[in-house]
Amino acid sequence: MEREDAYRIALAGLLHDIGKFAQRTGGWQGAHTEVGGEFVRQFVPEGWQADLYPVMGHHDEPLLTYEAKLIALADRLSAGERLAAEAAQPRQLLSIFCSLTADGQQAPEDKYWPLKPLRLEEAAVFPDESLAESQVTAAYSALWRGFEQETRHLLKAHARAESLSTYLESMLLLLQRYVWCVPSAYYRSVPDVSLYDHSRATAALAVCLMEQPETHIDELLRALKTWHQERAKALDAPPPPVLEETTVALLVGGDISGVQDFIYTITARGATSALRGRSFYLQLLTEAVARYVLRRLELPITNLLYQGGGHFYLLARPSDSSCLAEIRQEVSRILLRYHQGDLYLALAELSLVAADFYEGRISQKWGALVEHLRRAKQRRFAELGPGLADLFAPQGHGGNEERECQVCGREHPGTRTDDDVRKCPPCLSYEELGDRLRQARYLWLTEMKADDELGAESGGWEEVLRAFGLQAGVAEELTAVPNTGRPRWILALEDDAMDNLRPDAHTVVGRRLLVNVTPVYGKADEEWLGRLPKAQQGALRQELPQEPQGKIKPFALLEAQSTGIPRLGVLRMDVDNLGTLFAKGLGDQATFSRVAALSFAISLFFEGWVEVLAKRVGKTADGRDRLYSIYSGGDDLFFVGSWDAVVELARKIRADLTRFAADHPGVHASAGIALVGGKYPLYQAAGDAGRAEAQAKEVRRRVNGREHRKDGIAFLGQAIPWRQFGVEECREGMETVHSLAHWLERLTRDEQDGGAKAPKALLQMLIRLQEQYAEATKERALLGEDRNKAGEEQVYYGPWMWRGHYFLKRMARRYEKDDPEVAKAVDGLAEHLHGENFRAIEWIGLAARWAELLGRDRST
Amino acid sequence: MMQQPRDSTFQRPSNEDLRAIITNPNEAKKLVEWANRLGKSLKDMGLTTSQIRALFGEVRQIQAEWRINRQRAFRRLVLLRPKMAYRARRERGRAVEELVAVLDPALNHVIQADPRPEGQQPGTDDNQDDNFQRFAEFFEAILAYHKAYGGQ
Repeated sequence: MEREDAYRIALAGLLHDIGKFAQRTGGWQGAHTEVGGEFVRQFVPEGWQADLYPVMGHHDEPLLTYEAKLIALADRLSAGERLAAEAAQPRQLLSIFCSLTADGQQAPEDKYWPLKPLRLEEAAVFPDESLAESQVTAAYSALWRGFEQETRHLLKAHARAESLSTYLESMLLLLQRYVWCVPSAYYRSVPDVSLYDHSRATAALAVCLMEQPETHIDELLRALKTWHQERAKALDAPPPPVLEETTVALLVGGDISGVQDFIYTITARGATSALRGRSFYLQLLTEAVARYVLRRLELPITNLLYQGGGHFYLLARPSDSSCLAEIRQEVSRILLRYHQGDLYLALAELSLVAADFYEGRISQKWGALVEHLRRAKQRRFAELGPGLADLFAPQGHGGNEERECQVCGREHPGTRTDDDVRKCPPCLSYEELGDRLRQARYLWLTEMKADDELGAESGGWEEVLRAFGLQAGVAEELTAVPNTGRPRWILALEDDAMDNLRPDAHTVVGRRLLVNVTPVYGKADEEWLGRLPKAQQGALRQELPQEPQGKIKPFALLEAQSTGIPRLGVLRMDVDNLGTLFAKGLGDQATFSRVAALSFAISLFFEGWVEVLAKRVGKTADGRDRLYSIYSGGDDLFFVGSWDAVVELARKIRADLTRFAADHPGVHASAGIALVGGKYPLYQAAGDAGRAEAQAKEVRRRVNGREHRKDGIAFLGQAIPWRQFGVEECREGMETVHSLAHWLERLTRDEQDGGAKAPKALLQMLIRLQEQYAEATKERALLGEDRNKAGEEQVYYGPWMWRGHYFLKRMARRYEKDDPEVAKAVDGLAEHLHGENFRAIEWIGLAARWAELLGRDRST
Repeated sequence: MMQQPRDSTFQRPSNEDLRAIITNPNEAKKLVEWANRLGKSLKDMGLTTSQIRALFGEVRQIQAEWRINRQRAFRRLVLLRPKMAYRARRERGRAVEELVAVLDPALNHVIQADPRPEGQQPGTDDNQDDNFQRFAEFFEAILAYHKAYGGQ
């Protein structure tokens, strides 16, 4: 059975270097291949042990079996270089960001991932200085103990060796949890690839290589050896022709398009839960399609390199090309049927020859694949040929008002009225999914035959997934997860929920990172409402659904719970130049495993850590949640919430991204924030935030003669570099927009609220000063005089300097007698600005406007 | 080069500096620095705003008139020189005299320049129109700093 063979090889690939992990605990003696063999004997169900000979034999000279040769070759291709000598063992995993060149810069110093199981905890996720020699072995031992215990559970569950695919995926997830931080080896003397990334890449490649006959594998191995010997003499020795001529795998990419419109082009009616549901459904759809492709190609899960946020990448065999063309049509047909062309999956592939895994060529290939995907998106549904006509056939009857959904605007025979709004079954199904998600602790999936139970067409999300052979749902308790007897997955959405999970012969268990931050109406909100004046309370209660307890808070409530002016904040943010980071950042150090490592690291931040931040920042002291994640994955995110919380979240994300990326100055993100009313159409708000983000990407600044681009935030219509905006912890001061805004806000707040009661005119004056400056700057830029001969932006001296100084000093003097504190503060501000040559003129108005919004009396 | 101070507390900008301040749009830094220094010294010498309110008021009016009737505005500007000289002699103390000793040569850089050529953008190098704007700014800045340092 070919399918079974692929799983066997994948498992061998996955475990081929497990001995290295065991070795470093100090408790296992011998070469890593021998230790690996011992691990297999102790921890792998007996029924599969015989298939894992390559774990022991992949370094033999000569290589004894076909399987051992497959693993040996896959190992080398994945590592992208000659096998490193066994002599020295790396101690800790160097952050992949330390190997990255971005904006022409590098990380200031080497930072290492902590040796801890993957949990969303500060101590596990942020890289740090390396541990002392004495601590390393202890850390490995602790890590190993956890891994060993889980492996025993797995062994027990699979004692009868029934389902290799289930075992393989469980093992993959185990390795992700425990081996993500274990270095695989020194590659070019840098230990920046985890054993997890290297092992799964090796597994994926080995499966693809199974198509090559043994004689060809021998030939490739020989050619690699020769090439390495030649390169030892001359670095630029060209690879032997066989390495350039042999296609060893297909790099396949899938990309769902139409996502933006699908999520945002809905009306405000019932939007709060529908939105979250729609976004999550897209994630499930990506997963369903990715697994569908794997199943159709009979590839094991290890061949899925990445999936999330509407994208997936996988590695297929060279001969899979024609089958991929069929799959493309099948997927399009299903999507067209259920989504009438709103959603489309671009599926593209690219052949990789053996030499592509060397000298950084893999990044260019990746870039080329992305380009293929982009082109495929421009010819949506072209693969359907004549079937394409359906796209243009009239839909519905036109004008049947009672059948038109008031949320998405489509006609549907099943449309019914719910909470006074007419909704179609798909929209209702998204709402229900969104509602169920708010308390979800587990995501479960079950495989089913693709044509099972296709009948009544409500067109809800569950049906679409079923068409791809997947049943899915979320649950708060494990008891709520259905057991159909078919292979299933139960994935914990929280670290704590993981502890209750045990694998069995047909159940894969693991952790799924998912940013799931939902503001739910609770006791704290009820109390908060009770404290409001009657009229305002009444108006807000009208916005609440019946029995609001435990339901998602409506936008109107999030808006009302803002500090200062009631507004909804909409945040969009993504990593700057991500494409370039992947295509060029690793230079000729780019190996297959390294690219995988970078992609893993970035999603760990955006799919994992962002959730921790959002939960923390969103919660008020009295327990109200004010942030709502619509989407966060890949490298970008979209949040809605009380505006002041949204700004703080953006700052926190930006600050932690740097810490996460080992303080690399070239890894940064830009953010756009729009403030809108709670009833403003969301798709417009999304557009506004998108434009703000684009504005932030235009930010330029010069430091020491070097131009820095992007890395900015656009807020209240002004784009400004993060450095100036301020990402530090909340404190008052005059150094950044953020610290000045908070300082000004307290200064101008009323005394009974703990303020200093400085006149609000202070804020107005600062705003006007900046306006004056902005106008003058615009004129000067028109004359091309805003830069000096070196092209550097200059401090612009002008009336705002003396006028600002004059106004502030005068204001300070006026308060000298009655309020020395205000006088001193304002005087200090004048002196500070003056001392800085009034450089703050570029952002002082922004800080003042921010302070003004924060201090705005709610009743007005 | 800086001229020798007449007394220990007062420093005046050299004619080179004054020329730069009035005729060169890229020397705004110098303008601000000198205005700051002069504002402080004049306060220390006891200059009061009322002593020169009339002069500054006249400059503001000329500024307003400049766009409407340039010729008449220019005439008023020329007449500002004797007015300043008169003030310098009349007011008590040396402060006004010192201020005028700075403003007068500055004003001269305005009066002696040619009008801005047709088609040239505002804010350019040495010409009467833009020099006057810079002169007015310079005067304003001195007074702003004078006030900021506590001048009455």
